[in-house]
Amino acid sequence: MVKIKQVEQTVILEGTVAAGLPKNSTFYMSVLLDPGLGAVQQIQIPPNEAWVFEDLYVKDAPGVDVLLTFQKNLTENVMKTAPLSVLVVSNPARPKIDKVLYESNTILTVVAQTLQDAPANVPVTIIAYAKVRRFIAE
Amino acid sequence: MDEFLKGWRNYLIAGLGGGAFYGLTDAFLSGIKAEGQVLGVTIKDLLTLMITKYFADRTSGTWKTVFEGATVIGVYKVFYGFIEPLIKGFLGKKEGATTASPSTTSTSVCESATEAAKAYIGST
Repeated sequence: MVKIKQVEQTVILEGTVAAGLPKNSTFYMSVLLDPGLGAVQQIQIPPNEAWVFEDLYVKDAPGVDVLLTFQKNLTENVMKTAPLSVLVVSNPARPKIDKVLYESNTILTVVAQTLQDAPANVPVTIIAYAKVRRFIAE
Repeated sequence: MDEFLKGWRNYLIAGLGGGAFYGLTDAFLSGIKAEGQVLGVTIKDLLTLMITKYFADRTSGTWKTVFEGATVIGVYKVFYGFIEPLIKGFLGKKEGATTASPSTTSTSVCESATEAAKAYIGST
């Protein structure tokens, strides 16, 4: 038996929709957990930790609507969000995501899929915030 | 201006100013400090206090303690209603405020972190 500490943390997911990118294109989102580590496209859950994603929201509707797919170990799609346009934090009917578990040592990646054509001339930045509960064995 | 009105003016400006930043919540009315005492009063208590002071000081011919108390209340509320949350915000103490300041929510004992997470999901 080990002592488990629970820590709630906000993870920033950021990606850029390239100018002219057609509908249904996909790209990896960057994951920013710790400003000291910087944004990365893959995070391996530390061996003494397990993570549970509990909520996801955006501050404003994105310029290009996308949905996010949470992947485990680069192959398994474990959770798909609603279009980010309905996950605006001020939306009282904002749906909650299903809780998704990342066990120790698994790899987290987040893939975005565009739901509409991107503007021809300017790239669009997508930023979403995910609440994660980290279980840390001490 | 009458000394009494000045006192209330100070109270309203300072107190409501602080309260507005805090969302005019009940925190505006809780923990009010008057004449060096933390009373934790409600509106009713506050009015009772002020009316009591009114009659008490009326006999001695001064409003001094009334508006002094009101000023203290206002300054107190400005600090706790506005400045303190601001400082906490800068220090990142609010839960989920930044990625740099995770907040420990609880500790428990379990087989492993993964087992604890599974138990958590199963319980919610």
